[in-house]
Amino acid sequence: MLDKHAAARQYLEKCLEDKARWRQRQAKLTLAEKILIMDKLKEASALFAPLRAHHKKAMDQT
Amino acid sequence: MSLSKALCVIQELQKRGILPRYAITGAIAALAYIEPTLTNDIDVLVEVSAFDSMASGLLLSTRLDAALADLGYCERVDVGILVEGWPIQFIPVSNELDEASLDSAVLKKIDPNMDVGVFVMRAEDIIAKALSIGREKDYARIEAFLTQNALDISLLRDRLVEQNLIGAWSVFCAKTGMKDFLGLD
Repeated sequence: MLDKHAAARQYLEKCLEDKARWRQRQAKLTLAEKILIMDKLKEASALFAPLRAHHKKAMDQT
Repeated sequence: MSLSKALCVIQELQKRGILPRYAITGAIAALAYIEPTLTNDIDVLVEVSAFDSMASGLLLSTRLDAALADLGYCERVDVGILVEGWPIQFIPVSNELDEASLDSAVLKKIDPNMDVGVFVMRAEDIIAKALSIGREKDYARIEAFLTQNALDISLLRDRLVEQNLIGAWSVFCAKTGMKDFLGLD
């Protein structure tokens, strides 16, 4: 049981480290890099558009 | 799809004298200060003289549309004309806050290696605008500016006082449970 707790704690600490690293990286993003991310976000959103429409239709029918 | 190219087109419209004064607003303007957030279009605040006024009071974007067509962009979608995959929505100045925001707009270089820059609203004006609209997504944007420390507090305080947005700020604080660190309440 102790091992499981230690493993979970280690995993959580790694997640927090990753998050901190990601935050630090984002702080250094240039406007040009952020503009490229916006294109990717929009492309990803378009990919999920059919799924959103399907979900909305299902919700409307309930 | 290229936001960078779409912003270059906005710069080109200004070079051609079609956009005398403008400021990019909304999520694309926020990009200059905070982390990227999803948006589907580019909102551009434009002074009224860029539009053709009808006797009824209706404003038509005839000249803007013609200039975009001249650059090869003719496809209209629900919110505006599609430019490099991004719909551009031209919004006429409609109140004093918009006017002040245009006056305070700042030139931001898209890429340090390119000679491309566009005017974007000041961070404090994006927040003031979001407060005045007051939808959930506007509040989320304000919180992003606050948590990422991407604003000048004294400039924001001055703008909110000047534009009578103290009440809107109080509502925002009450709804989000945020302490009124501006001391306006």
